[in-house]
This record gives sequence, structure tokens and C-alpha cells, in this order.
Amino acid sequence: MLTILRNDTKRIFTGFFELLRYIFEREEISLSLSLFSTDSHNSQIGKTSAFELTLANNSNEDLWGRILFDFYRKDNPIHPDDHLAYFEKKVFVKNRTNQKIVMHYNWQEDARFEIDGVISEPDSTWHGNGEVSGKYQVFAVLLNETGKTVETLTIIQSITL
Amino acid sequence: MKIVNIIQRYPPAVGGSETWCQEVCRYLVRGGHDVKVLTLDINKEEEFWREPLDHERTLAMGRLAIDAGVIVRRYKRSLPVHSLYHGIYKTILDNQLKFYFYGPHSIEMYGRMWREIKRADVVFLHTIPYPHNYIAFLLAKIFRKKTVIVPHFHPTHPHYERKSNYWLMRNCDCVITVSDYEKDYLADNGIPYNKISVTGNAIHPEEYQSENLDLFKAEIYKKYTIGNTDKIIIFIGRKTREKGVANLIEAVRELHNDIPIKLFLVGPGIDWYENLYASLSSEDKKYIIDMGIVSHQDKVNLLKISDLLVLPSQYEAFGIVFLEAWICGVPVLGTTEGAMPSIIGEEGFLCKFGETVDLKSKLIEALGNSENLKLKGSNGRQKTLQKYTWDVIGMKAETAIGAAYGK
Repeated sequence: MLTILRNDTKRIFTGFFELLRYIFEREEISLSLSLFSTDSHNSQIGKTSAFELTLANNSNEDLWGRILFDFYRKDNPIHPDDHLAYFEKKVFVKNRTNQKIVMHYNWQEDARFEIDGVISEPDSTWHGNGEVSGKYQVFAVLLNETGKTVETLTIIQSITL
Repeated sequence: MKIVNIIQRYPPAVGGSETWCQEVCRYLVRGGHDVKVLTLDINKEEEFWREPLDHERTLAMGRLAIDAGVIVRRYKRSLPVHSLYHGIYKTILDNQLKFYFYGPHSIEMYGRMWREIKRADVVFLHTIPYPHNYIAFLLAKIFRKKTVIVPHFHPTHPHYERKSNYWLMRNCDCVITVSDYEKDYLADNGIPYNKISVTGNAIHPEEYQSENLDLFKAEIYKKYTIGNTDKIIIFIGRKTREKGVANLIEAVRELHNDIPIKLFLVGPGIDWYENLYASLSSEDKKYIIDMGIVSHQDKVNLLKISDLLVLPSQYEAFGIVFLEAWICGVPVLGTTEGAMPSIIGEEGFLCKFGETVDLKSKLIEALGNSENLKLKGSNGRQKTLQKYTWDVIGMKAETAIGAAYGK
């Protein structure tokens, strides 16, 4: 009971200061991840999963965004042992519009990106050596020009042999 | 006008009030308004109170989306704090003051609202009884902004029937309802009549075109041994006790010997329904057919081959499924409860909820006159096209918001 009260008090205080920060902090979002989804929770090695990401450009200028799809084992998301792979792609987004990016991945070979119906390879990739089957966290990450994470969305997929 | 909307979720999250908000916002953008939606980054209602389970995590929503010109800002939902929930929200606010403040809450949304509401002309509140309405209303008053609320009110529901909710609606500049029934109910409970505007609900007619209907019909007729003189009744909705499914099954069983009927039950079922359906004999299951959840296209095709849609519910805030049936030229049978009489009017039939005998007699009346059935279906289609498209609803909402802004 005391632990719950202590934790709750901490959360209430943290929440209060966060509230103040949100009130006073000016917010400008130009490029943002809108939606990240896949058709099914379950997939198989060799079967292509489609991961769909929508990127929104809320600014008056056309922008380039760096997108990273990163695959980590859910129970132990640590590099390199349980890091399956990542695929990065630079994407152009016109001002005040959305850009849909579909990544096709069969959990074996390099992923393929589909943008406006055109298929292309990733700009950079990395592959681990671990066992593939299991439950995975799939991260869609928006990176800034220096490679720092701006925003991350996560979905989960279970992979069987 | 700069219109800022505050709502608990936004599509692709599925829900009636969420869809209403999206369609009206899109219309307002087409009308040249600057429209923003402040909402939470959650998909299902269960996520108000907990993180999504692993198998539910096939979709994640980000900070910002542009939906046909509508700027949608999604904020992190704050999970409940145990002692606040039980000590303040439940014991004091709910039990003592009868004030619903459980959630969902978002510290981020409440904080960011300050600037968003400050630069808006109109604050558009959506869906009672969620607490975001009170926070946004308070900020709107501080910044002297006009407030419009669309409560999607559920009469007699304990979370809605609170003095605080009526107080909120009374103090907003405009209240938008989706039916005349809802308007009359709120007016009878103290909301000034001239403050309430009725818009309605709607569908996109172009999304109800049949595809390969002849082939679909031939396959369905063969699979379920449907004869050309058989009458096809369809039920679409959640298969719960409150939707009157048990009465409908009972009525069809009793009528089956006199009228050749096939009943299609479409929609998700709960344990109660699964047990009910399992208790039917294999003979009954030949004409009472559980279709489960079907695709939109299959639903349209099923409607197109049906003679009558029956939804014998205890309560419907509107009943969009009636519009879906009408636009396919199919007449409807609802009950005398809730908004149904005001929506169905002369373009369908009404029975008393929970009374199988009355439902049976209305089925006999409806199915006994094919010409009348066709006429009601055709009139229903015309009514839908005239009154219940999103352009019509959006225009009514825009008029109501404009009137509130000009006050």
C-alpha cells in the first residue's frame, strides 16, 4: 500500500511538472510519423509481411525524412544478440501532404520499399545472426539529419518457422 | 473560422462519434475553415485504461496526421493513477458529487490545449461523458471562445445522466444532436431548445455499390438452399441481448412453418449469443444462418439480396445500419425505442422491444405485401440521399457552428 502511494505521489508530481512544461513550451511539428501498421500479428519466415508507414509534412516546405525500420526480439531488445535487422530509407514528402511508405520484408532477405508504386532497395541495412522465429518489436523511427531519433512507433509481430 | 476539435479518439480508431467527427471536420476543411483535432494516440477503447496487448499491437498512431486537410494532433494517453482513481475520481467525484472524471486523461493534451484553444475561434467538444470536455470548456471560457458540443447522448445511461453533463451542455453556446429524439430528450431535461441543432448521421452512398451480385446471389442461394419465393431477413449489428437478437430468432422460428424465411445474422457475437446459437437445432440453423463478421462488400451484397432489415433493439442513438439498408433499397424494421421512430418514420416498420408476438405480427405485415416493401425501401433510399449524406450533415454542422460563432 505504501509502495503504491509512494509511486502514485511520484507520478502526480511528475505529471504536474509535465503539465506546466506542455503549457509553456511552444510546439512546432514539421515532419511526423502518422500511422504505422501491418495486416496481421502473425507471420512466417519466408512469407512477406507488409509494413505500412504514413509520414506527414505539416510545414509549408517540401522536406526529406530519414526513416528506419528496426527489428528487435521483444523479450530482450539488445544489440547485437537480439537485434535481427534494420533498413533505412530517405523519403521525400511534399509540403502539407502525407507520404505512404510500404516496406515488404520476408524475414530472410533485404527488405524492399514501395513508394508511390515504385519498388526500391534500402539506403542502408544491417543483419544480425540470431534465430529468427519468435516475437518481435518492429520500430518505425523518424531520424533527423544527424541521425538522432525524432519519433518512434512500435508494433509487434510473431514469427514462426 | 479556426475550429479546434477535442475528442477521445479519431479514425482509423473505429467508433460512431469518431467517424462523425472525421466526416464533419473534412467537410469544414472543404468549406475553407482551418480545422484541427486534438485527440489521443489510442486505437481501442480498452486502451483508455491499459497498454494494448501484444496481439493488438499491429497499429500505432503517431503525433501528427493530415487527414484530407484536417490537422490531427495525437497526444500520449496518461494511464490511471491508482490512488487518484479510487480516492478522488471514484470516492469523491463519482460517489459524492456524481461527476464522471475517470478518464481517459492526457497530461500532454491538457497542457497543449492551452495554446491551441487560445488561437481558435470555436472550440468543438465531442462525446460525453469524457473529461476532456470539461478541461477544454474551462480553457474556452478563460479565453472567451465560443463552444459547441456534440454529446452523442445516451438517455438513461448512468454515465451520461449526470447533472454535470447537463450543466456543461447548458453552458455551451450550441449543442448538436444526431436525432430529433435526442434533441427532444435534452430539451425536456433543461437544455434550451433554441440552443440545440439537429444534424443527423450519414453514410457515403457511393460505397454501397454491389459487386458481382448475380454470382454472389447464386452462390448464397445454392449454399443455403434458398428458393425463389423465400423471404430473406437480415440482421446487422453486435449480437447482444440488447439488440433483440433472441426475440428475432424466436419470431422467425415460430413463423417459419407459415412463411418461407431465411434469416442472416451478421456481426460480431458475444458469449451469450454463441450459447444461444449453439442451442438451436441443426434444422433451425438451416434457415437461421450465422454469418459472423463479413467484409463491407459482402455486407452490401447481402443487403441487396435481402427483403427486410430487422434491428429489434432496446436502444439506438441513431442506427446507421438503417441508412445502409435504405441506400441498398431495403426497407427496415426497428422498435419504438430511442431515436428509431424519428429516424425510420414512414419508410419502415416499428415493433415493441422484447415482445416477440408484436415482432411476429410486424414481420407478417411487412413480408405479406411485397409491393409495400419495395415502396418503403425505395422511399428510404430517397430519404437517405436527401437527408443523410455527409455533405448534408456537414452543412448543418457548419451552419450551427457559424451561428454559435456569430452570437
